[in-house]
Amino acid sequence: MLGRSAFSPMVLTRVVATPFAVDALAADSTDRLCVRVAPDEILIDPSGGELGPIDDPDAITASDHSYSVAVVRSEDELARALEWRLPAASSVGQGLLLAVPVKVVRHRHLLLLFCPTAFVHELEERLG
Amino acid sequence: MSRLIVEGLPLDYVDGDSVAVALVRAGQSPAHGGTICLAGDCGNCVGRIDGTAWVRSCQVPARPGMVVERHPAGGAPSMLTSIGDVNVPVFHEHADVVIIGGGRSGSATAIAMRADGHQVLVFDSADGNEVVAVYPGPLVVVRTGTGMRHVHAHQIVIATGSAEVHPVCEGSTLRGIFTPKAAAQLVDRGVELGRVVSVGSASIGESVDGTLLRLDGHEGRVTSVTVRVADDDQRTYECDSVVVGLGSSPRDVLSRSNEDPAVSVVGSASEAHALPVCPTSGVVCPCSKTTVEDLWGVWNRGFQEVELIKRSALAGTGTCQGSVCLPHVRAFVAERSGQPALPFTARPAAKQITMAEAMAGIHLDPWRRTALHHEHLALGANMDRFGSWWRPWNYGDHVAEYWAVREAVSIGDVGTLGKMILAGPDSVEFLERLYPTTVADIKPGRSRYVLLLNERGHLIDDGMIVRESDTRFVLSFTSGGATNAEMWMRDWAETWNLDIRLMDRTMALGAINVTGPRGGELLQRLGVVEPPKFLQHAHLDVAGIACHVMRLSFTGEASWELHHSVTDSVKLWRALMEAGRDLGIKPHGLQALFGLRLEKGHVIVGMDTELDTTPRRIDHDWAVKMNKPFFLGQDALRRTESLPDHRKLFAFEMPSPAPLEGAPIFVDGVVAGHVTTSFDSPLLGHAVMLGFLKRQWSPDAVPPTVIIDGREATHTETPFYDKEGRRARA
Repeated sequence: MLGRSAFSPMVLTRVVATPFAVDALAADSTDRLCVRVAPDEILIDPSGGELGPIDDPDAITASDHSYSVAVVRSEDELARALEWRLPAASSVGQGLLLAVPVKVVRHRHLLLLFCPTAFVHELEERLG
Repeated sequence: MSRLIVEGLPLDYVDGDSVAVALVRAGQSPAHGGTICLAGDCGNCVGRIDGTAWVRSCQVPARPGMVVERHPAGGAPSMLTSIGDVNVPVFHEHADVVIIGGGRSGSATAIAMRADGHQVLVFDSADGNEVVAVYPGPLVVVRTGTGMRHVHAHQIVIATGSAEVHPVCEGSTLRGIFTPKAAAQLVDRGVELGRVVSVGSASIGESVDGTLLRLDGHEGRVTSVTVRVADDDQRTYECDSVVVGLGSSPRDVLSRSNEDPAVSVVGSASEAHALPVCPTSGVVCPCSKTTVEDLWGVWNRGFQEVELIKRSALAGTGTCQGSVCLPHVRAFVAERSGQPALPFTARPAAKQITMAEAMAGIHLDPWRRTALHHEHLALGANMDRFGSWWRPWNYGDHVAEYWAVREAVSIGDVGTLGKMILAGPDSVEFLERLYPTTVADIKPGRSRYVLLLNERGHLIDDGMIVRESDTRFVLSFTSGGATNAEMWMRDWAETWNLDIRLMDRTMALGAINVTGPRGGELLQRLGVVEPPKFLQHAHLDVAGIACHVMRLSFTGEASWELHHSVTDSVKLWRALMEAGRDLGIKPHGLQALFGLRLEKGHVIVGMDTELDTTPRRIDHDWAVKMNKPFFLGQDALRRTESLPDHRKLFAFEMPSPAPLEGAPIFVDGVVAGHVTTSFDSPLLGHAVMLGFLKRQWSPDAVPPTVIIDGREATHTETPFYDKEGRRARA
């Protein structure tokens, strides 16, 4: 139904900080995978090196292993499986896919499907 | 010539025939009578085709070997004893405008909309895209040969044209009656109709003047038509087929099922058509077999509006959703009342769809697995669903698991608990407002049990506050309450404009509960020199794995929760199992856990609480500090604290077996409450339980005994076990 790679667990760094601090962090991280999930929260691929300083003394930073990721081969196929329209202007879309929570991330030439690892078995079964 | 299989016998058809046309060509009828329209508007040709019942045979192209069965005369088809492929694929699409109907009005609208720069999709059943429903949203559901299309549109235009009005008179349910367009289609396809008499606007065969009065027949097939040409003059014409032209009515069932302002109707579907002459006899609604006499019956009982007539006489509740009967019902009401009668509503789906088609795109809520899911399965766990997670109910012997906790050591997977980090300069102020417990006096390195109340003072969750520093906390919540708790906290932080940071770690962290009198010894074997004491916590390595170790107790024994990265869960679990082998370690599931905590009198939010449970009702006033300046729910508790409360949670014990949870509690022969949780205590040798009493609850009036499950139960106090709490603090 949906051409994709297998889901693989992904190590990310999760940062919760003031929106201004997260803005700055996102601006400094354009060379690596960043998923802005909320104004005050961002997931960053740590394999691109140490994060720069975070302009918030109360920021919470934690290594995050809660997501698995698959590469989707066709945006059209994915769009036909989603009840919501993929955002054209944003690199991140968040919603349900077959009732399972997912994030859709455009990263360079790739379309990435993020799913909480705890739900991956359900999504794989539903995707067939 | 190709062949269908009809009622087990072969039947020739001509390529291009629909199933209904093929049957008429063979001198048969698709169903058991009634006017044939060949337009998909009525239910007079429905049958079971290739195993699917209620299919409009006029809309299905005949194919070689297709199996056709008529529904039973006067009844519904039998239910299937098995179902085939239920996985009908669904494809989602988005469009500015969806136009339903590709006729003149639909095509003209599409041209105009496209010229205005809109992205337009046009669906027409002739192209294999049959719109079966329009839902608010709006959402257009389209049936195709390869699955269902769910089209999310900003605007929907219904351009479905008009349907021919069917005759209603004596004999109108005979076979051999056609609408003009159906008859023309049959003639075009070379179908022999015998001697044809046309009435009304029809002009096929012998056209006769006059108003249709009656149809007569032999063995269910029409043989003559009688018309009234003057008040006292009737004429009867012999025929093999009769074509009746009574005008048209809007084909508007999709718009009648929807009041979404984004849905509009154009063309003849939107026009006011003249109503037919008020029927005086015969079947008005062939789907529900509603007669003119039935209409009179409900009218005389006071049901004098079309919506009421629909519900009382069932006209319009059948297969065609009123396409056939609505003009006649309206004509009946208009003549009786002297007022225009508006159409009645319809409900999606407008066409018969299979359960599989209706289910397409519908999915159950997903259930999460912890990182230890396969460890549990390997240990023979019986898994069940609790609080949106798959969890081990038991590992085959919950009593053995129970004794491992009480006498040795056991581990349980509590990775499902809600886990959050809170930080920021206003974190203490935030928690003081959020929880009814005092927070400022929790020292770093210590933790406290807390209730979470809503504005009404009702219990919505519970958990632990774990203080890491002056401004940083770890908060835990129940497995089922974590998601709501996060939203709850974010909403209030915004409302109060407090400077905090909140990070949900529920799915990033695993948690294993090490519990039992030898739990400390087990941890020491794995490198924890000094396990934290009761309600203390520390960041320590366990078996070389970084853990946040929290000492608490839900089982009644000394317990340590080991919070750790989910990537280390399996390694930590196996290390604990291996190191505890000679200590008699066993994993425990929820069945044992629920009993262990019940012996201690610990409540489970959602099981031992209801939607309006206050701390007072479960004897948890000790967890509420009313003298705090403010906390959520404080005002409500203050308002109600002096009022009598007629519900309260009590503890009971009785000889085994334990009654079922939910069992009624009788006092003086009257139901006075129900059991919330119960357990056959292996250690105590009898059943223990908690239950709400709705009457006579005041401490002085609690009856010493009640009747549960037909047996006597004795009121007692919690905890049932280790009343001094020495074991948990050991």
